Amino acid sequence: MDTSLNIATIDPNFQIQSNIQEEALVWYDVRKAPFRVYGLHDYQNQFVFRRVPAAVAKATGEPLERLSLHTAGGRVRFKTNSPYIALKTVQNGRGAMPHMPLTGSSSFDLYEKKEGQYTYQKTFIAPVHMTDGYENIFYCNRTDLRDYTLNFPLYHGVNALYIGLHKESVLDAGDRYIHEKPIVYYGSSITQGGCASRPGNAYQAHITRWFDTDHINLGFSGNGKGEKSMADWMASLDMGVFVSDYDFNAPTAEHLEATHKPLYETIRTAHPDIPYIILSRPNLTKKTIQTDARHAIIQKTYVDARAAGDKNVYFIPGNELFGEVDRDVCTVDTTHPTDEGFYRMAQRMARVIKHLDW
Amino acid sequence: MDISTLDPNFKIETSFDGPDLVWYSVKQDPFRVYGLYDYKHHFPFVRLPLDVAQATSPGVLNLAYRTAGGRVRFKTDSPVIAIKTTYPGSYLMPHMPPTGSNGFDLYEKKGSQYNFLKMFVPPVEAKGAYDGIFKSQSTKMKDLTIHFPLYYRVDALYIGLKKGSVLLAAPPYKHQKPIVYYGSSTTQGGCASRPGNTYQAHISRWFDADHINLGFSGSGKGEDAICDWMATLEMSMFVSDYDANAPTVEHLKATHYRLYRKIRDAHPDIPYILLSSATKYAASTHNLGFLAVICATYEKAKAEGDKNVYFIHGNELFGEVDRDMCTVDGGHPNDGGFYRIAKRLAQTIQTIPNWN
Repeated sequence: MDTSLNIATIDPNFQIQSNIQEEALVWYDVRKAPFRVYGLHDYQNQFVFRRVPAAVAKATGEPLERLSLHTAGGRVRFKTNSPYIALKTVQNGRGAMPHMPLTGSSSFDLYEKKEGQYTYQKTFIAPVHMTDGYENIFYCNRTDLRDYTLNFPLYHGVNALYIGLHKESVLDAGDRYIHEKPIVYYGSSITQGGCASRPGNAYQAHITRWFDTDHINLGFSGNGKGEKSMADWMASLDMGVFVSDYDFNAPTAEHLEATHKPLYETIRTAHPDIPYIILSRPNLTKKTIQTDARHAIIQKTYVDARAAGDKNVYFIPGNELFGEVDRDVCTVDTTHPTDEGFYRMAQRMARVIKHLDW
Repeated sequence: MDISTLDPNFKIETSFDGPDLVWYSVKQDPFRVYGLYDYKHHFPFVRLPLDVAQATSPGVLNLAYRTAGGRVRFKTDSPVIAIKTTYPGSYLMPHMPPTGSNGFDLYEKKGSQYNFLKMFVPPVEAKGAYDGIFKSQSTKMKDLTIHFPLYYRVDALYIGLKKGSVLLAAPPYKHQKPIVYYGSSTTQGGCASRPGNTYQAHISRWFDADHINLGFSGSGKGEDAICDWMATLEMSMFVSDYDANAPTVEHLKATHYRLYRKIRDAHPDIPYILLSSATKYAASTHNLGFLAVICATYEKAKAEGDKNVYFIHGNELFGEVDRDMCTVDGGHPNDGGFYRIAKRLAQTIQTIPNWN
């Protein structure tokens, strides 16, 4: 059965103001089928895109309320044969940061999946003087049916996203992931994707493409502190794998000790059978890790879990995440990974993930 | 030399409360600035003589002030290294962070190994100046290199050291004659996240070689004026990274071999490495005419008996796997892309006598 949809038959009953000069262009709201948004919470019913339910974010704390509106890990998937893909966003401000470009913090990038392989197509670059969103168009000069994934910005909010296609083109739902149950990542600014040059270069984005898996990015810049409200909500999520990338933002080693193992226990109780991967922070200077109290706390969660009979728990020490050679290239500021750093993290994690039974 | 015996006769205002610092202009000895033209006599810093830039194009004149490839080197036992720079107002690019366009980063050389110590992160909105401080406990003598910003103008740079510390000249590079790179925005370092992550910066550290970055964003077009000037430079190697900005195949044809000829006539014995763009030829066959011009320069040079000319096909620069991660926008390398370019270039440089 042909489930595809000729978009000329749909009534785009909303008016989008645009400066793009394409007479045959029709705008679609990605909140509506056949578009499917991944990595964002209850997206069809939320006024702004968010990663966490408002009540959970509120219970966790004010910074998290703001950060939960950053769309890290968000993706929209669809198929079309339109000769162009236009994009129009509604965003507040521009989200400029000193060590991360707008292409990473505030912009969308596009991948095409073909025969199981994802290929980067385009960065829809947010303008430097963006005030309330932006628009852009990508001319593909093709009319074959393509399976697209558009990644949301990592460090900025998105109120609305419209995709513009030629009115006579086909629009259909994107393929499902092979692993439709998401990998849930919990952690810090690094987890959130700081400082990737664009969303598709965050470490989770690599993993998601390599394994064709959904994911949910619950990295909260400066605010991944293992709060009970967050842990309880995460435990309620349907998921395929949990990655605890929680280390950096615990204000003290004592805080980490009081929250790191409880997070494991909360997730494990709700999901007895999923792989649980524990990371410690990526470390630029390898030798310091041996004396790192936080590392010891994190490792203890792992050792205790194994001792208690958990055979589906894995530990990657942070000093392995950047590989062996030229580690200096891996951060922008000795803390936040560059694209090369994220790529190496993804490679190291992939070595564990490829052996998982999921 | 104990720096407390020098007279820092200027007052530097900074945003941080620090130890008792003494400030020095990097234009004064024993600091030594590399990669910038006649730095002791130019305010702001420039990469090439302004008359040459002016004779080349308005774009090159504008970009002459962008300090890509600039470095200052010195030795000190000061546990803190502060910088203070003055430059014009805000400047933000959408696909390159201020750390890359406007920022300075710091490396320490230990033995033959350089280590990244600190990014002096600039503010998003630079308002005429910025400062930063690296604090350590180490009072050991440190051999330091600070990179200048890639896409911004620098009027002045001061270094602040703890009062009473020793300040000395850094040892020279192993290859003190610079590698000269000529090309486009990619050559200039767009879009590295910080200056130390350009491909030239990797090469400079791996081979301990000075370099001069003559990449001009959108404006590397092989004009006579700049080529004639480049030929006058003292250098140990020339890297022609020129093709991305040539407006047409005909333009490249008229200028690409000519550039080679000018450099080669002035420097009969240096290695001359030809690159083609890492991104221009991979996605489509549309631009193959440009590539053919570069190949023709290479073949002609070989046919003329040049045994010290090398060609690296752009499609090799990003390696074999996951090439997708190498650019921010399909055109400009990110840190991953630059690292791979540097590795591929290093493979060739290693085969050159005296460079292995």
